[in-house]
Amino acid sequence: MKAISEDSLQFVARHWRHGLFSRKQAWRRFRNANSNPGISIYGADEPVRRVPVWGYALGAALAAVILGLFLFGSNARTVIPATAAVQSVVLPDGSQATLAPGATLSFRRHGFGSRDRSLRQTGQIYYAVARNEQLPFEITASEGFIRVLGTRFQVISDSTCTAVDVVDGRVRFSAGPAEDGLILSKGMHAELPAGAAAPVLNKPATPNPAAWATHSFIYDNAPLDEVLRELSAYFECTLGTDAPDRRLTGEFESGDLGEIISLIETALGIQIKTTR
Amino acid sequence: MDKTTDIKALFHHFYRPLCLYALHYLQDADAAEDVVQESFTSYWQIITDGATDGIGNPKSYLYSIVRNRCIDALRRAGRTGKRLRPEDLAGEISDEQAVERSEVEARLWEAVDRLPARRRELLLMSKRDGMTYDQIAVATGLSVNTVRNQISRALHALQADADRILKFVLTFPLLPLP
Repeated sequence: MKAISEDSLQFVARHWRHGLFSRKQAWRRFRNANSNPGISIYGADEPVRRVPVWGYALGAALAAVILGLFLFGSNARTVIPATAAVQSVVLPDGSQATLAPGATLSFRRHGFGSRDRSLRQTGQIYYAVARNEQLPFEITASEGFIRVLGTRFQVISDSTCTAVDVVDGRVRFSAGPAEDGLILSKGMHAELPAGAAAPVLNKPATPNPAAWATHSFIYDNAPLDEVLRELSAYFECTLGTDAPDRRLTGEFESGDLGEIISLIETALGIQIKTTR
Repeated sequence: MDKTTDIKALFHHFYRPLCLYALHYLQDADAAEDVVQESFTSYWQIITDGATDGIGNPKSYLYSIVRNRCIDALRRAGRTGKRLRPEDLAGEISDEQAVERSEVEARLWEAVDRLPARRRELLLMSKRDGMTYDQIAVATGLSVNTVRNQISRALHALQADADRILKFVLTFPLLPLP
């Protein structure tokens, strides 16, 4: 049989996230948005159930009891302690967290992934969040509160500031769960200084601030000197050129620096000098 | 065939391929899902307002709604000319290629969904993050042999799924035309 094409596999791997493109959730969204009184959109296999009003009251009372039980019940937390190396963990809901050296992460031992998806973090962490529209993924950092449905982004937090960089998808960033916030999308960067009421948008320090965790570099009409500065930092060398104003659009996987450089040189018809 | 079962079958069959197709244009999964939702909504409105007796080729009709909406979205983001074309990781591809690949990739996507979590994570580290087996071994604390073995099993599972689905597609026509 025909072999799977490497291009297709890489494309799927690049974008795959747990729960993303779920037909069940998408169909529910479509059905809710298009309930047409003329023609029932509910299939025969999905009867519309009518719950009597007292049913809702009973449900609410039950929910209150359960909520009380688990609020005052187990509060044990799983803690991912800081290490000196980059570490990658898969959370109980299928999301992935990549912790930079020194970062810590904790969540409730019971209920993470079923009752909530709330995390506390310090330091710099990159997240690839499994999509789940019923359970938003929420992070409390030293300053600031981040809520998402399913996306890839990083949070950098210390005592003076919390910053968020979005690689893919949408992220809500605010000072607290009830505060007004910013909706950030792909490529956006925002910062919340300690004590501020709301985060502010800012230009990311480099085009791919999460490259340490994603190992990929994506440039969209980026100035060449910015590109070289970023690659220099990642590969721990100094890259120079006499055409810093040229602009580059392209996508590279980390791996062989020599290969990336020769690709850029050919694409732009310039020379790049490497000093170790 | 009544309209309701029709739209549900269409949605079930084409939702993922259309998402992958839109992803080749937009490179953003959430934006792709939004476009596909809007496209099904406008398809549904066309069907239900009674102006037409049915659409001859729902597949090509859906693909063209999605394509137009993707191009609109890219224009709104300030793109013009060549940068309105679909792409894969290596660069521009044709619209026909994007259609063809969207179907293969939707199946591949489902096969990745079905992999055991740990094995899938190792596969993604290799294919998504471009890490070598040695780098993955260091990052996960597994031996290089385990990493190689797990990734090779994952690839076998994907290949087996691809073969099974190819046979299925060859044996059964996609959908009866209304």
